[in-house]
Amino acid sequence: MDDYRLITTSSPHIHSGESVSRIMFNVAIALLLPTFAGIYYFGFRALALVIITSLSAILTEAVFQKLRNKPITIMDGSALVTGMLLALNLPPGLPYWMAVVGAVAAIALGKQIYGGLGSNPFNPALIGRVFLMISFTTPMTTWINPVDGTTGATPLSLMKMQGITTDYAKLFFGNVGGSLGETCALLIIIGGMYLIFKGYVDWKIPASYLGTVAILSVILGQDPIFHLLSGGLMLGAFFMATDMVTTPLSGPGKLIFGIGAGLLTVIIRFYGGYPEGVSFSILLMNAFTPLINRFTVPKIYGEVKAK
Amino acid sequence: MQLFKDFINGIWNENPIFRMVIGICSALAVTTAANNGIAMGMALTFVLTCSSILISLLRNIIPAKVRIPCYIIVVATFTTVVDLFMKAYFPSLYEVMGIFIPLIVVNCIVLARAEAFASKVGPVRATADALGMGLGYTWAITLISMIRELMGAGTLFGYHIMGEGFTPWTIMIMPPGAFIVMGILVGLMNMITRKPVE
Amino acid sequence: MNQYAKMIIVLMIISIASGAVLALSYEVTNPKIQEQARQKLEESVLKVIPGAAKMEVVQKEDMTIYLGLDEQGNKKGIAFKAVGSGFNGAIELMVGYNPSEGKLTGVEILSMSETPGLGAKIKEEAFTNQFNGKSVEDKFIAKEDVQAISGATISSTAVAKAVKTSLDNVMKIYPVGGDF
Repeated sequence: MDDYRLITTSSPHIHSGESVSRIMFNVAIALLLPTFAGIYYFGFRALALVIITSLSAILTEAVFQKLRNKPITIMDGSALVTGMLLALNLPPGLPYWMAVVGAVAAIALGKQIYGGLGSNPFNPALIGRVFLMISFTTPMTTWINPVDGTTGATPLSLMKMQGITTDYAKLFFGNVGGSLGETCALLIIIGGMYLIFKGYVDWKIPASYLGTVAILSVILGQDPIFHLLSGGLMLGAFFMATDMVTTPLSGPGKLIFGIGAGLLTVIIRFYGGYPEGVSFSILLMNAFTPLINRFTVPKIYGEVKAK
Repeated sequence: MQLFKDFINGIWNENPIFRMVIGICSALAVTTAANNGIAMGMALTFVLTCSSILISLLRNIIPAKVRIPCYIIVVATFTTVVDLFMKAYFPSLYEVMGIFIPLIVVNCIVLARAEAFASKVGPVRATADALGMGLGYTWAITLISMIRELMGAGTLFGYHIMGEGFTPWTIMIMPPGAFIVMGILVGLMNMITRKPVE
Repeated sequence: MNQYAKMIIVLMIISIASGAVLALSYEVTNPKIQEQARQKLEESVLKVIPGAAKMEVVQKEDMTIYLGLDEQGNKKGIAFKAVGSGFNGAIELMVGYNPSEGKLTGVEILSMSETPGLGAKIKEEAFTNQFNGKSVEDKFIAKEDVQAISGATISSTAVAKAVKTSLDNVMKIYPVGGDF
């Protein structure tokens, strides 16, 4: 079905008009949907956090490239996407300066240190989030309830610690405590579908990721729909596990990536110390990407297996 | 002049941590508080100096084929002495340093200086070199541990420096913080000493 | 042959010299080290048994129990070690227990390797003081009758569980209201 894209013909070729910046700005547009949900539920702080992390990310990239005497590529939009993704992964009540620290860590430690876009083994936004998570655990796990503005637990930690489930409609529309952009499953799915439709995201990773989590939940006797809709799973599956740089190239490789991430997420959620494991699972699978790529090299047409 | 050169070499030009990047296992692990950095540095300097002098004195007696076992015995002896005395007289420090004092035995700096320097020169030069290397190691890990303690706990040598409103960056006193701080310092060190490009 | 003989002799001499130095250092430091360890143990025992000034070690059914006595030699309570598995490894505790009142008299963390800034807060008095005067009939469940440290439920649970498990064993020998 997608195969027509892979056919190479002899020249002349027409440039499709695709470029890094075009892809990145389309991702940014898709990200606006969960961002709107965050602003709707958590108000001004959410908007401020998105703006702060995006600006800090772009600025860090510019400063870093300037210091290294490299061409400044902030206009390609990749720093903007990293900043937005980071904000969507933060609790809405986080102090602003911590958000800045997270954005600097994401770009400097997660991306530029490896040589910039295309060379980073890990998803930069997730590096930023995990940096903050380890540094400032208490503010990073203090969740604001959008209904009454009080702090409380997320649906996942309610489930883990006290066995309380939250009803599906609330989870689906995002009216629960959680990170800024992870609560509203509906808008995340729409944004993700847009990217799949445009061909920037391969359906294989989200499908295998979500599928694995659902199937394992059923096997382990927990509510699969609850686990699909809660926590950062939707946001992770559509926007972070699909990052082109840090995920496998081939179709089978993408399936392996999604299944692995799903498996790790379930293990962390059900047996781990943290209530949520999406960030850690994706980062761990990022580390496996070169290995997966190596074992899923597509067979070259006409190649004969060496004896 | 030669002695001074030997001495200063370890402190700056061939600083074991920032330049040669050897012996960093302990440098990464114990640098969570400035006190630990100084104590570890002093313990290593003591072992390094004593074993360098002894190895230099014995350099013509030790047969080449068994030199490494001989060095290890000498180093292990001094390390165990430090370990026992620290346990007896500084129990609270010993508790924090834990296994890293015994691990001085296999610290690259000690064996590297024995093999590369002390076994080739007289005891006076060996002493100057060992003291330089020891002090180089000490200032380097003290600096790392001061940064980590200040950011990770808001204190310096146990005294509160940062105000009440300061939120500690827990990551700094955890293992990733050691790598981040050390990486940045090695980078800075390279930047300071970079020779201008023609 | 001569060459090998030299190797063996040199290695032997160095080893013997090393052995002698170590033996000497050990002789000098060992009493001090033993004293340090005993002192540390006694300090923690006296801390978890209010009013105790002296410690006496009792072996009962392969359990080591520390009796706390005041200046006149009256028994003030007993203390015992408990081990729990925390977030990053074992947590070792000293627990004080007064059998005649059926209450805990104190909990002290001896060693642990929990996360600094989070789980490591179990060492603080704000956490450990809640066990003072706690009835041994309680459930010892974090977030119910034991106040957990925010963000460090596992460490808090580990402490509560360790106290409860060893307490159950000790209570078989020293039941509530019984003599000790």
